[in-house]
Amino acid sequence: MRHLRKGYGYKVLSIPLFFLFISLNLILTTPAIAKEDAYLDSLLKETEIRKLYSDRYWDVLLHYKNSISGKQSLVDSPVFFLSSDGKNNPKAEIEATIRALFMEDEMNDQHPRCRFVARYAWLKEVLNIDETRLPDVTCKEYNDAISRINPKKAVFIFPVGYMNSPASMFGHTLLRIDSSYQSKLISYAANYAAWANDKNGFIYAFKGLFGYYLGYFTILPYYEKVMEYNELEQRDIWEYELNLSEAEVRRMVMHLWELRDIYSYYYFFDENCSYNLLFLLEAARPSLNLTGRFHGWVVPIDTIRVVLDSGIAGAAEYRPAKATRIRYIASLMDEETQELTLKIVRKEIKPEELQRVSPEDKIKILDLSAEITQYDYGKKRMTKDDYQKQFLSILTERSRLGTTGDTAYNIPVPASPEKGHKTSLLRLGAGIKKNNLFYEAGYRTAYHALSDFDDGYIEGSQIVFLNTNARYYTKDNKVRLTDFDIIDIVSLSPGSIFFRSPSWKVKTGFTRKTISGDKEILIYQLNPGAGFAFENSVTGLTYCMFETNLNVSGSLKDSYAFGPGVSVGSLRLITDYWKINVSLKAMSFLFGEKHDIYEGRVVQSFKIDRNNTLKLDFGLGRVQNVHQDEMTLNWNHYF
Amino acid sequence: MKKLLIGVLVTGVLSSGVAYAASQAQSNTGCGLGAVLIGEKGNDSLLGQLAMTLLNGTSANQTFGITSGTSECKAPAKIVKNERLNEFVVANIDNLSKDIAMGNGESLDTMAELMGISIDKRAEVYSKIQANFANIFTSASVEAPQVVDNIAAIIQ
Repeated sequence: MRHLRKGYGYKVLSIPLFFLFISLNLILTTPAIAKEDAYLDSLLKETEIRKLYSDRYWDVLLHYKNSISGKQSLVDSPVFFLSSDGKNNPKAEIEATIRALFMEDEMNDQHPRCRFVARYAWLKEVLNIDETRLPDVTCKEYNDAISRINPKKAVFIFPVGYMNSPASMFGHTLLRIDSSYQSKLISYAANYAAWANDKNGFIYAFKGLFGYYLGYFTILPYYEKVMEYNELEQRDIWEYELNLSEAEVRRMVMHLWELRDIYSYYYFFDENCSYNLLFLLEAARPSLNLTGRFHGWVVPIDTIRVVLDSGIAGAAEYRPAKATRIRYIASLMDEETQELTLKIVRKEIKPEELQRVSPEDKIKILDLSAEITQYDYGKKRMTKDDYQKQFLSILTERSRLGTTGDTAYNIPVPASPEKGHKTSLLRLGAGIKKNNLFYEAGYRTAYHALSDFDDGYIEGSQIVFLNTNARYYTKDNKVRLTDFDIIDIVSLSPGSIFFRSPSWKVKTGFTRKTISGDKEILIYQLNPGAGFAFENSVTGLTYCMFETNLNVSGSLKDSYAFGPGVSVGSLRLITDYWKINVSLKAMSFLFGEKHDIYEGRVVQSFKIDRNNTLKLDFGLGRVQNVHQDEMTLNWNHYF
Repeated sequence: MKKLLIGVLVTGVLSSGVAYAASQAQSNTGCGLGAVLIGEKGNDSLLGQLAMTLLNGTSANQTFGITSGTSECKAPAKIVKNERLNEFVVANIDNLSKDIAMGNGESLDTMAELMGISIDKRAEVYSKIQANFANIFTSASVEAPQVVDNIAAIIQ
């Protein structure tokens, strides 16, 4: 043992000696170093002459954007920059990067050439760098990763909002990188997301709004993302193939590699998932200017429009959510077989006990039972043990029935998201209220209302941010603000025997209201409600909600009015160009300024084209026995 | 079977990639049936949902899952090592079992491709493994590597 240790000791000692010899050798051969210094100098000089630091691609790779004080990178991770001043100084950064290429290698995978592969590839190309004059570096991790990803094609992915959740209507975007495999599930998906572990909604909202979360790029197998969106969250996915060349897709992956473990502060509204993803497309093809087309609010669907406008995206493919699949299979079945499915799911009968059912129906029942069992487990409605047993017993029975019959389930493809109207709205109109003529104008920042046409959106979902409307009455020659809705959300989820989710609404903001006689006052209101909805071939999407409404204004008795009420309504598409929204509402303000309100409305929308509609709004109202009837015709332009 | 073995061998060699992050096994993958759909993403409050959606938040501890990490699982014994196939089956075992029972589906197509089964052979192979479902998924707790072995044994 001793002897061995001694021997080892000799070896350790001999290493510094070896290095000493090498360094001596280097000192003795100074001309070689001087030569490389000269090469570095010449590269730096050429960079300066050609002003490469102001090249578009350098801006893209470093995420530089113009700010008040010159250029600034949106990346916040200090290790992303090789110059201490790199975040604000493209010139210092490019010089530091070129110097770093000459760093003597003892670290291979950590060497700037391996860490910032896209920067190096670009510099090597534009400066025609002779690699043999740089230190020898092997990027094993990067080479392994790129051979594993094997990038050939890129696909822009858009998971729409959660079903039954208008709060999620904005959706999300990511990129899929396809290899030479036929199967898309084993492609890789590049995603940008906030690193968030908080459970509390308020903390989420606060941190997200003010940039307290760090956003990171990730790359994971696409099947993980399909499970997350299609199965766990019940979001349909749209896939737009991009016409990027193999070389361009490779550049995209190279930039993605540079962004590994690099963070930027995440902001809900602008520097979000969809915005940051656009940098990857620009890294692939720098002539695209996508990030420059957004100022302020970035809605994922708008990024799709920008990508489509740029001409790099093709037709969309549809990947339905599990819930969509469940609804579709159920739609192929009659009530009796639906009931049988429910009995299997509830374990009232065993899969093998399906008697007197045709093989075709049996297949559908078992297929649907399997899907619902998976869905319920995903929703944590059953234990893993129960799930495993039930799922296996359904599938075992199903496997005995072969593939005969309609098992492929061709789920109809709805209108793709970009086919919908744009998200901002300008409104111009005229109307009559109690024999007084008025003109009105309005603006809505975002996003979709129940009376808008649903192509590309989720039917029964409304999310309205910052809707403003003003009227000019000819009689008294005055302009009045009639509405300023901060947020107005409605979620109508039609129930079926397989799904029962509540419908709900919340509306808050300022509105002009008649309390008695002719007196109109501006109030602040908070109006939440909850209820249920169902789909019917005659009345369309029909709902009933129980609501409360709190009004606040100095003009009210005790400055407030509060009370409960009920509303019913239905939405129905009569033709592709004509939609009717009928509603009835009764509210009884029992506290503060006491009063009752009854209201009936018919809103008819007529589509001129995708981004233009006419709306005819007819309202009958009664407040404390005084009629408040009005009729308005509006032109709505979405942009 | 020879062809299959060669296919598996070739795909295995082609895909034997890097083991980056292999030690960080994903929290939502496992080896047996019912391993897939467990995620901690649910936050049911309105505000929580809104915030979650706008952030598209993630709490996964893996950023570059070039391999998704199946180190906790046994490797299939009977067939040549094919890391990508094993990973896929581990992560997709639920959907794969459903596709096998139904005799078609994307997960099944993916598995077939990773096993190197040519397209013209697939219909025949699918109906064979569908008919043998009970021999593949022998119990509710059967693990993915065993499933791969069972399938390989049937195709032979």
